Amino acid sequence: MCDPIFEYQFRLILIGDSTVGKSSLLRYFTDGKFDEACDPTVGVDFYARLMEVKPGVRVKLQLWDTAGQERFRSITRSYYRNSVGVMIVYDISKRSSFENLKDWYEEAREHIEPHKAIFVILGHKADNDEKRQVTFREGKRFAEMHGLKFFETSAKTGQNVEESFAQIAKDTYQHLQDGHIKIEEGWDGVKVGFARPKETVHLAEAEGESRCC
Amino acid sequence: MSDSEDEAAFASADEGEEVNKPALPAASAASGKKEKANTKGAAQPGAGGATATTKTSSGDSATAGKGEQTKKGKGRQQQQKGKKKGKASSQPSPKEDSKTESDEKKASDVPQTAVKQSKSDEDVTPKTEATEKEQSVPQAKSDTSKSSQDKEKGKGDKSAGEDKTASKSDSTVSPSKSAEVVQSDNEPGTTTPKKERSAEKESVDNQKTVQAGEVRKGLGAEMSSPEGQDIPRELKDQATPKQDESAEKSSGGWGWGSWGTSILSAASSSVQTFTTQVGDGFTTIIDTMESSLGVPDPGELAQAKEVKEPEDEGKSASADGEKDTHPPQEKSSEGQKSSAMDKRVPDKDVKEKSEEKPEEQKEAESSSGNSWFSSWGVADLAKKVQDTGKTLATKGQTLMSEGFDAVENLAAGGIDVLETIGKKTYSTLSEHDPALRKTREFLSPKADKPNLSSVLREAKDQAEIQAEQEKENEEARKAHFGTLFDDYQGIAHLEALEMLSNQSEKKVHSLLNSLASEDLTAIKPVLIAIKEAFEVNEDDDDDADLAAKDQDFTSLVSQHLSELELGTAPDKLNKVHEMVKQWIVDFDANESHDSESVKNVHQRSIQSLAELTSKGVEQFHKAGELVLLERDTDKDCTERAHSLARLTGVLCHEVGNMATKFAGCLNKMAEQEESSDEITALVTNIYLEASNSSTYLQDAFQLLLPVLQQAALEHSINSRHQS
Repeated sequence: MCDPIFEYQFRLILIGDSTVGKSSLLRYFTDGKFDEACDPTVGVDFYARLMEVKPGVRVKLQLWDTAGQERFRSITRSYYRNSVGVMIVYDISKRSSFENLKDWYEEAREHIEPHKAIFVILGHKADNDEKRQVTFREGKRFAEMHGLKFFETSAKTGQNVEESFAQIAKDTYQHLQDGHIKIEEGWDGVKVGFARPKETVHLAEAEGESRCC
Repeated sequence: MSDSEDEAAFASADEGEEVNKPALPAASAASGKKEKANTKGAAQPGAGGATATTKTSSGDSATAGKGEQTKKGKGRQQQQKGKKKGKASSQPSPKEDSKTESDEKKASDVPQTAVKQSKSDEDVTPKTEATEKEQSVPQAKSDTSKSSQDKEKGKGDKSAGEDKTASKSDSTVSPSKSAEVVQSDNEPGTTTPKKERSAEKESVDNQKTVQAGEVRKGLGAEMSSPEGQDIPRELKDQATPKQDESAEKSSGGWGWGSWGTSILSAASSSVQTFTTQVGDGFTTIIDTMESSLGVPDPGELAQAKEVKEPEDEGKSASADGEKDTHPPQEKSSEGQKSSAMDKRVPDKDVKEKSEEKPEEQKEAESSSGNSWFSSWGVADLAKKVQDTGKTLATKGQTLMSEGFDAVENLAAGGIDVLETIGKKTYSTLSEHDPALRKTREFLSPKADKPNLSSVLREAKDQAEIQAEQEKENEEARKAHFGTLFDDYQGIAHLEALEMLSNQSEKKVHSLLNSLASEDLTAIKPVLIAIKEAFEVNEDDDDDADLAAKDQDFTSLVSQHLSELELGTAPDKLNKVHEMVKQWIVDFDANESHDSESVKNVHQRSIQSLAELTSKGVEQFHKAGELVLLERDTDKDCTERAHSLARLTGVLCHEVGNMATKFAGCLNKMAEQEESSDEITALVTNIYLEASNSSTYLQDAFQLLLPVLQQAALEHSINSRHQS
């Protein structure tokens, strides 16, 4: 009955200090819109987008936009466990957000274990170069130190937004293909997409016909 | 290799034939005649002889500007062609005449003239290698060499040699008489007639025999290897060494060498293969012929010849034969002169005659080879050749006369062999492919193979079908509650709420276990009250439905949410509600619902239900989160539970309301349209999804129970600690 829009659903979670722009980043990624003003997130919000990780293979990225405020930390922690990808965001114009990276990273790892997750470091608000307080090299070095991918992004200009999400989606898919990440019962980091009742049948028939020729 | 070799062999054979014909008028003509018309050829020579002179003279005069040899060669070729045609008159060309004459002479004079001529031919040939003579000579030489071993061959060779010599003598004589081409042309003509006369006088039989020998030679030239293979092995052995020698010679010092050797080796091997293939047929034929005719054993003949013939001749013959075999190929690809040069060099090395040759060669180079034939050295060689040739000729005549008939049979046999090969090929091809259908299908593009256009058409049809299916799926998706519920993030919120709930439940259990019995008894009533609030809610559901038919959704939701005191705004819920309300008002206001198809209304209803449900679940989720966060507030969790229960009731009631309204819209349309069955199904679906929606809301609400309990527990513990 339902369309087979995607092969898998990857649950990605965005963490990082409040006001670094997680919600703006996700809004730009899902809607292509950017709003200067943005209400603080309560608890967690959700976004979703389909993405092609390789020709013909689409995955649904379910994006968990967590509240960066300290008071929500106890709640957001409970969401780590079911995520297959973690994007740790900091504000390049806010030094403290960069310095908290380590805490965010360790907290996420602590709560995700024993499951595996793909991490990406995002230096956000890259358009705000005038007020930059964290250099690209610093962010890059932190990411490399922990063996992570690094991007500087901007929801205002759209810089690297698509690329960063594509990267984490492809890496996740690759790990899934390689068997490093497995679909498990009781873990929602990766889910199989909706069953495709109609189309699979039609495709099979079509292929059979063509083979007859 | 085999293919290329074969091809090369064929090419070489053809070239050899052609070349031979022109170069050695007698031999070539004889061979050509033999091939085409053996019997006729025999009779023709005599008549041809007379005409030949005139023809040759004319041909020579025409070509006078060019070297006599070349001209003669051409004339010979023409003559040969004519001979091939079967006309005796065609022979008239000087070469032919000379050939015929020489043949005749050889037949008559055989030994002497033949030997001399052969010698002279040999001598001349190297010199004139540049010209066609070389090619023709080679055959003759090879023939002679072979003939030396075999009497028959010797006869044939002799005859060929005679022919060659005759032709050569013509050419040579002419140059000697006069350097000018015209003179030479005339001279050959003059000489030839005499020869012809003599030949005629000698005997037709001789001619026949000669021709037979020629025929054999021609066959041998064409398929020189076959004879070698078929006949004595000695011949083969000899022939191969000669070739090697020639190859070596040719390679020595001359740039052409390597090229020539490769060609020669390829040609020889190819010829051998060809002979082996065709040879069987020929051997059988020859054997039968020989046995039937009582032809003496070739080995014996060869031995006799060897004894008689001086070694020099054999060597020269072999060398010439080698040279001759090489030249044709070389000539075909390269300039005749170059090939001649190569041959000349080896000749010098081999024989003393070669010494004379160089001079002649130089002359030939300068005067286009006319002087070749006039070289004095030829005389000595001719004498030697004659000596051997006489003996060989005498024996050869008899053999040739006998063998002539055999040659005819051989030619016929060769045709049979070719026919057999063709039949065999066809049968092999058609063995697994009756009537060659598969082969034809494979070769013809119009077979039943999949057509590109048809493939494209199929692909297009498939794509269209797929697109239609996708469209249908898309439409189905638009009306699928679960999908839409997911699109509105209802499922995500529900899952998140579930996670919260599970976490809270664990926390509640751990807290209860950690609590002292006193605290437990104190907190128990609160927990039970909260639980009752959740249970009561379900009971209130029906009452709420009955009580408020058309509730003020916005005010009720706002009221209940504010009672929660969690700071959550009902914006999203109210927004959805307003949107649906507005849509229904618009729908009612619009009397003609043409623009609104039944499908669209159904989609709209499901979509609205899903959106409202999603927002409701989200509201519950947020409430749960905030309840956990704001544990310090004094707000009683029981009250919150009741508020949430009432909110759930309102939401569920609203869901029912919406379903009813949309169903009403559809029913209105059903009155106007005939497809009532379809609309009934859609109305049923709306109510079904509405109940689904209520279930989601109820579930979300129930998930809050542990959250509230945890909050109550923690609040009580905190308050107790504080106190």
